[in-house]
Amino acid sequence: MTGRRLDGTLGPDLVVHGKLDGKSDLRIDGVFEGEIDVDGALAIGPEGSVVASLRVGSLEVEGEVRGDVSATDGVAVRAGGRLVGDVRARRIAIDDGGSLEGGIDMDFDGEAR
Amino acid sequence: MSVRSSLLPAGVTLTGSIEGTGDLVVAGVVEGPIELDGDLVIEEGGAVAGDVRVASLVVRGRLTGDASAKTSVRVEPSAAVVGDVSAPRVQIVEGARVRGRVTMTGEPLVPQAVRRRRRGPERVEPVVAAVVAAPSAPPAEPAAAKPRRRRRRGARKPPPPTIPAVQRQKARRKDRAPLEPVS
Repeated sequence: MTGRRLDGTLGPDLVVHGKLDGKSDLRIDGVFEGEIDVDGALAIGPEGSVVASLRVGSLEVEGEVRGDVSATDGVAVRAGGRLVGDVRARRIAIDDGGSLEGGIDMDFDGEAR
Repeated sequence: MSVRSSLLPAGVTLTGSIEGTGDLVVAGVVEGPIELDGDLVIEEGGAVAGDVRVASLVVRGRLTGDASAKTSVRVEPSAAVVGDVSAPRVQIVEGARVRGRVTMTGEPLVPQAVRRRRRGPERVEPVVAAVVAAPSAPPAEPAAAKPRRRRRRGARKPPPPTIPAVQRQKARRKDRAPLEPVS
C-alpha cells in the first residue's frame, strides 16, 4: 500500500447493502442501501445513489440521497444533487440547481430556539 | 487508480454485502459477502468475514469465508485465510496461514502416461499453480485442520452390511405374504 492516506471510494458499478461505520472520508459513486455512520466527510458523486440514514461529519451531495441526514458539520447539496429527507446539521448549503425535499434543523451555536 | 475501482479504507466497517463490477480494495473490515466481476485485494490490516466470489483475489489481510475466483487467488505472507479456496490458479506464498480446502479448478487433467513421460530428469514441471507449504506456520494449525476432514469423511456413511441370512428370511417372508390373508 502507498504511504499516503487514501480516502474510501465505492465505485459507480458497485452495489452495497448494509451498515457502514467507522472513521474516514468516503466517496460513493455507486449504489448504497442501508445505514452510514462515518466520522468524516461523505461525498455522493453525480452517479451515486444512496438510500440510507446518514450520520456523518459532513455531507456533499452531487447525486441522489434518500434518508435522514445528521451531520456534525455541514451539509451541501450541489447543482444536480437531490436530497430527500430531514437534515440536521450545523451548516446547510443548497446550491442553485440542487434540490432538497424535507425538513432542515440547524444547530445555532448557543442560541435558544 | 481507475474510476471503476473502489476502496474501503482502514477504520471503516461494512456490515452487509457488496456486489457489482470493478475492482475493490478492502483495507477496513467487511462483514458479509462480496460478489464482484473484478479484482479484490484484501490489504494487510484489512479483513473480510464472508464468502467471496470475484474475478481474482489477492489476500494480504484476513479472510474468513470461502473464496472462489474466476482466474486466480494469491495468498501473501501477511495473510490469514480460514475457508475453502477455489480458482484455476491458487498461489500461497510461504508464511501465509491457511486453513481450508484448496481446489484448483483449472489444472489440466494430464493422462498418467504423459505425466510419466514428462517426469524426465532434464524436464522440470513448470509451476503453473504452486502451493508453497508454509513450514514456519505454527504446528497447531494443521492439527486443528485435521478434525474437519475427518468429520467430512465420517459424514459419508458406509453401506449397511448385507447379511445373507436376513435377506433369505425376507425373501421367504415375501413368498409367504400372499398366503397370510388366507390364514
